[in-house]
Amino acid sequence: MELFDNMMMGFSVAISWSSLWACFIGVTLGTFIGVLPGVGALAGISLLMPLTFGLPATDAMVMLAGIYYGSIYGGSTAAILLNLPGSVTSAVTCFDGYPMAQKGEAGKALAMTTLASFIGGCFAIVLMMAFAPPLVAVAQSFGSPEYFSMTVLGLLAASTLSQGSPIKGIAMVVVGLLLGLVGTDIQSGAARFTFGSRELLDGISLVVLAMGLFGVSEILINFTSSVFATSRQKVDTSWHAMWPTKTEWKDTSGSMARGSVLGSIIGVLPGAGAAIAAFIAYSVEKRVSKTPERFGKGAIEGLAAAETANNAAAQAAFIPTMSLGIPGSATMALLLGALLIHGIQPGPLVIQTNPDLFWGLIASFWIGNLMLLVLNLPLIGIWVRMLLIPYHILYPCILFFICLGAYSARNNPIDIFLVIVFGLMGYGMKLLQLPAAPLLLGLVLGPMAEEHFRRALLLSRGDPMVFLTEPISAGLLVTAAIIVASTIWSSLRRRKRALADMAA
Amino acid sequence: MSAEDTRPPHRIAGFNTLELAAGLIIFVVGLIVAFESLSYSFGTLRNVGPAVFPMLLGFTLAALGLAIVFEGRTSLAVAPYVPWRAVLAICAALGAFALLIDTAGAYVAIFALIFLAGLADRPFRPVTLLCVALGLCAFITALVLGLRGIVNIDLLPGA
Repeated sequence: MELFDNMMMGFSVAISWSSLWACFIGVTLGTFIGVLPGVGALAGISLLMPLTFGLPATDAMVMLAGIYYGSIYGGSTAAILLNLPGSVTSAVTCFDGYPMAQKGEAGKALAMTTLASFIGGCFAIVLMMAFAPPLVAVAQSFGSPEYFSMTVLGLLAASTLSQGSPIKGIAMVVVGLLLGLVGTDIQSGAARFTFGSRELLDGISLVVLAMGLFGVSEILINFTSSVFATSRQKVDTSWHAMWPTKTEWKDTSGSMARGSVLGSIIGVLPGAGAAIAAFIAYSVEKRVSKTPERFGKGAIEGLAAAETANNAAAQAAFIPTMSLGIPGSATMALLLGALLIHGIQPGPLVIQTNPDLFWGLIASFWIGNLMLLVLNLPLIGIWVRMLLIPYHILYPCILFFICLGAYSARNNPIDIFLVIVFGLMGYGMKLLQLPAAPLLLGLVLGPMAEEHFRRALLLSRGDPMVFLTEPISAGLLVTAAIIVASTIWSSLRRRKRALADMAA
Repeated sequence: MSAEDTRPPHRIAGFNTLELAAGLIIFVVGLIVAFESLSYSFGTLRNVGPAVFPMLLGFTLAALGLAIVFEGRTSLAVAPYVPWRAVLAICAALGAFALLIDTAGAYVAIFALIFLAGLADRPFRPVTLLCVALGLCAFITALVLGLRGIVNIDLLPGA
């Protein structure tokens, strides 16, 4: 019963006062961020990351993870009450959640969301406990060529599978990789792309980049496209109105099971993420249902499927991140970055060198999900009131926290100027429809990719074919090539169709 | 969204201007990177120098830039409306905070930040902004006094 021993160790870590406190703060702040419309999980984590620098590594990870899944939890509140998804992941929740609220069943929708999220989250945690150790065992036999190829595959998959143009996604990964190279080269000591600046010798700070790219530019984007409604919906938060009836339990249990499985599978894949998981689970549910016409008009099954799927995906995303060191999304890249800041090299060795962190984090997921369940059901009334905060009060406060976070990292005002630069860059990228998330992935993985590239060549005595003669590495690279070829093919086909449309 | 999408996209020689700009910027950045990496050491194939990785990435980026130009030829993307007032006000607010925090202390910096940021939105709401600024001043005072030694920020000028 090794798994049992590991879990016991995890719980002994997670149940310590400092971890419980970190978990509580994390999920509460996360829910808060998720509820606030116009502040996404990414911006929230970037903003709150400096808070965790003073904590021990385990507590920091527990708290950041809590912020992440807490925000997904909270995002559904805004989706149901305002028809405005607090974060992208809950866009699908709007489809049936808002109609339910209009029918006066807001309380029930919110309670269902909380329960469904809890179930989805728990399912994915069990999967993580079962699959992370074998995955780690495989990855531990990897040498530098395999690592390099796996990173290439992870980056290409993450950037091409997400929405928008795959070529733009790959280009942004490359920009991120390049930004990751700025600073002193570890192997030769040469200063690269610093252009004589002493501040850049340490490289570009992940926090500063993320705050600019996701914090500042998000505010600017909100000024471009904003329609901010505030909720005046009355919510009946009595126990009787919120708790699902027997038939509703029966209707939704199947949806929740399917949502959990689908969400977990999609969550493991790089690039897909919680939003896509919710969407796919919702469309599957609609197809399976005997009464598909109810969907979009307040079908509780649709809501349950979407919510279990997005939370399962959110938890499952930790599987590749923690066991392989390959993040599938920008949020996961931020969490890996936090590990690096705490001096822990992400990858399959984490489970061996820092078992307390690995199992403690998993155990904290249970506790965090339970806290969310206990916190959210009685506190729904308070979260509803949060929605009344108007954006013209919110954005100056967000700006203040950005300044505070950027400045307090090393008490250097230069960092705030860098935030402005990255904020403008992020906004410009948004205008040109260049995705920002792949850039962050590249930034975090860039130094590691280069190191493995060079080490592989060194160990093979300068034979570049090593990436193809090692079977696992070759397999990974072939998969990457297939992904690239298929995206080029589908984009050519789309172009042909578009040209035909233009001619017609 | 829907209101914007009805506008016809701007084109230069058949290329969608927005996509052309995105592609060309990426192309040029790629070339600059490749050029800059010439100044580092290449090393040998066995002992790869600091120039090789950025060089490869630079050329890849340049190629992707051209690909974006061609992929975006038929794109219907239109330039979105840019809220210049908000962009300027928010950059000015952050810049003012950065300039003031070391010399004038946190209180002055917060007031500058909040009131400049307030210019981004219409109408200008002095009373609301004053309340926000006072609230944040109270917050930072509690933070600095409560976590003495962990958060080192000067509250008053010359403190």
